[in-house]
Amino acid sequence: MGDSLDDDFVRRMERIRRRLEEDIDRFIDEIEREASEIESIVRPGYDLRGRIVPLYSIQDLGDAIKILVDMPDLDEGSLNIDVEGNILHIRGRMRRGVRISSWTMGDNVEFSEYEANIDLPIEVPSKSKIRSRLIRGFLEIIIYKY
Amino acid sequence: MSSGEPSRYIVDKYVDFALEKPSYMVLGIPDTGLIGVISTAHLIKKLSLREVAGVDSSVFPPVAIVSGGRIRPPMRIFHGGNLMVVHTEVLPDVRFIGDLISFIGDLAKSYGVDYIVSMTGIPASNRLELKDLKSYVISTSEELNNRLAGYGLTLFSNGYLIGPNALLMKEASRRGINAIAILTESFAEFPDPEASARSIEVLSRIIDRNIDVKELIEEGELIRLRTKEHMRRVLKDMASMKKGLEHTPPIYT
Repeated sequence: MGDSLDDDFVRRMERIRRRLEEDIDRFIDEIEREASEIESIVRPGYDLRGRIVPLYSIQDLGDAIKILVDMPDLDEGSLNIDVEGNILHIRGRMRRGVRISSWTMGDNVEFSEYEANIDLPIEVPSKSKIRSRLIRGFLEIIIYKY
Repeated sequence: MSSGEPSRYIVDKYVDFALEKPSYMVLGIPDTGLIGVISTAHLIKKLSLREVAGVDSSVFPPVAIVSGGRIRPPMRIFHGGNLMVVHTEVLPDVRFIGDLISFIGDLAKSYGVDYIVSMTGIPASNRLELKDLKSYVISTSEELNNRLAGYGLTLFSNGYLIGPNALLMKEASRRGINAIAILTESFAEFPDPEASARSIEVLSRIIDRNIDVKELIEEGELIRLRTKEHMRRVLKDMASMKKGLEHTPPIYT
């Protein structure tokens, strides 16, 4: 009888513990989501001086890192790629200015430049390890690790 | 909703409309490559569809769209002939996506929709090299699959569907609603107007209506630029939905 009461108590406590853990997980998710929303408002992918922070992806190929950067309408001749430690700096002008209307910016900002400072998962050994090519407005950068 | 609870969704009808037969609801929701959203925006423009209703809910972010001086809710409904297009550029929190999909099923039933069609992307790791993008289709019934195969479309036979479109197909299947998903090879992380154009070509065959996609190809780079902030937000939602699992073949099919 005592054992059964103890078992029942343990089961109830376990249920309470699980519910608390679920509530905490939900709470953390909620905070992360809110934080991410706020971040996207205070750090949008553009600035009022007409510069756009492009979207990019990073893929580890084993012996190299591949970075793909979406840079529509980039003037290839203006492209500048530099590296400092594990930060990749990319800058370039667009062939023509583009106006994108938004309530945060109004209609008066013309975008004409790209700028990205990308945290890499590795230190780049030297600039000679970097290869790049532009295909249909996508900049592909390969950084060899060795 | 079916549970008897009051609905979280408020449908605001601007004009009455009736769908001609056979009727299609084309769904454009943010997902891989923004294909659904870019495609439905193009359909609305090219087919001069009329805005007939809007849907708001407490599960959506606090967003109002201002269109031609009018305030519109985040989910907008357009109509023309036998087409009803449901277009939304924002998604609720991932916990409420199932609820939203269930509401879309209710909406389709209430308007007597014969087929729900959704368009999304299959992330292709070599997308940059691909010029001739492959599209696949999957539906909620074998009979419909056979019809789609008869149109010369390739069936998506084995793999995972993930995200809102996966929920849509499961919900429709459970409720006996005819639903078709068009899946096209695309970028996962970038807006993909080319893949959207390819999806619309497949949709054209299904709904037997010619839709010009030249603008999506020619203006592709500009569309990528205009939609990149949407993509940035969608990427965060996709991460919480474990998007990317599409690359993994199921162990048992």
